[in-house]
Amino acid sequence: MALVNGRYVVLGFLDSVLTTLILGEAVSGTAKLIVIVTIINLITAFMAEYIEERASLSRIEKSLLRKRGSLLRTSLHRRAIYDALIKGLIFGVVSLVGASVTEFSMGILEFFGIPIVPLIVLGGFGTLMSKYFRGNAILWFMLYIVLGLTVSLLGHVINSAY
Amino acid sequence: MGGIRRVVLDVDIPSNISTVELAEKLGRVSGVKAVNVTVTDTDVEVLGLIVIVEGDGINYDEIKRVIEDLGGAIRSVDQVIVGEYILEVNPQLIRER
Repeated sequence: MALVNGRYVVLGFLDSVLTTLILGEAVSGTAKLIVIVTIINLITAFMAEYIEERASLSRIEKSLLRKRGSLLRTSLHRRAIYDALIKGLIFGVVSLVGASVTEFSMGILEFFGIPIVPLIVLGGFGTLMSKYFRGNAILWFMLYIVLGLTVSLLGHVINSAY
Repeated sequence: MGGIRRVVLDVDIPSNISTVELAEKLGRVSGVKAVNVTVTDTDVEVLGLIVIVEGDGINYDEIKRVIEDLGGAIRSVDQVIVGEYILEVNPQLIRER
């Protein structure tokens, strides 16, 4: 069964929040951006995982001295598809949450055009993730806020340039 | 004369497959009363196993299907016992050969 590991939670949340922060002003329509981020992330994660699983099956076929593609009719392949689907779904759902939270909270409180609430949410997420590997909570809170701030500023620069 | 009572197989399976899962699936095959899965060799991708299946009228095709469905390969059939009772081989006869 697919392992619900931290990688897809961090990747999904961080990617969706940062993408929404950077594209927030450029893409008009709240739902549009959320749907775009979620679907792209879901498909990307599924394809990346499936390719990795297929490569693993290919290595196993070689080790077992079996014909190429012979494992495609086994439960091993069905399990690989299932695992890739689950991981894609986790990535998609976390992305949906990240993009929705960012998009809906962007206009609540702003300071010189910088959305404050998404940055605090991002910092909170950093703190939460630091518990996962017993890291320094304050350091990771600050790191995620700086990351969000940088991306937000980058978004402003790009949007005002074009 | 009865059906297959014991089969001893030399099997390779992908190392991400659980030997417990394999044993349980083999245990559900018709005619099987006991299963022994012993790991004899470990590699990064592959586990080498000796699989011993005992019962009464064991469905060998189903045994083969279960192993292959889990991505395994039967390298050799090392022992097959068919009949009314389990006829053990005399180890001395093998040594003398």
